[in-house]
Amino acid sequence: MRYPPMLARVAVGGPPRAFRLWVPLFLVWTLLLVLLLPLLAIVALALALAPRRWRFGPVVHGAWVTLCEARGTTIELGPAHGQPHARDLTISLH
Amino acid sequence: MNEERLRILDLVAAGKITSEEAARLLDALGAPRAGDPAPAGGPAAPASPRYLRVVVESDQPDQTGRVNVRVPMNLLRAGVRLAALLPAGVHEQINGALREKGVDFDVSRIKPENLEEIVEHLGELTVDVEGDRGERVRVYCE
Repeated sequence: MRYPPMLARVAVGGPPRAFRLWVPLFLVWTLLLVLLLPLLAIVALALALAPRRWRFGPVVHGAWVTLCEARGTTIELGPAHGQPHARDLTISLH
Repeated sequence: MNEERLRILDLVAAGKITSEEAARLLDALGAPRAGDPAPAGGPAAPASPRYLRVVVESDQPDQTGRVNVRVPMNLLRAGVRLAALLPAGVHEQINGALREKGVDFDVSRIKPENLEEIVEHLGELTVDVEGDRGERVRVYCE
């Protein structure tokens, strides 16, 4: 079964003094699901009335699959040269 | 002949799938599955890349020093499938925007059917570019 990223790991700074944070995305998805259900109905109506032919079901399914496959994405940002107080930032989705 | 092959032939006989679809399914059955050990004595098949890595490094003080992005190949696959669902008019708009940026590319030519071929070729891809201001961009698969 496919499921979206459940945790985002955020690390600021590098070893030995890194600040690490685990963000529980599963709580965000639960909240978003409640908020998105009425929105999806509006989107379905908008797509049905759109001048270009959008297929609502496959588009929503495709967006869901794309979100689920984002697990494993990692983004690391290093500080610019000449900025000794800036820290590394790493975000990874699990 | 194993059970799965017999079932495919039954589906052809019942007219539920075409002979071309059956040939593809039989080919897929013949191909080694992920996790299967490589045949003894034979060369191991190249592993399919799992991630696309983009690394940008810069010496400039006004830019981020280093950007390292790892994108799962499955995310690219899902993105291409999603892009294939866009109406033709939207493809033209995207192509126009790409042309404005100097990229002459037709997005509508990326089809989900060609996905595996694209991913296979991405595995051999390594891009290493050095800019005028000392920035270096590397794109490769792993």
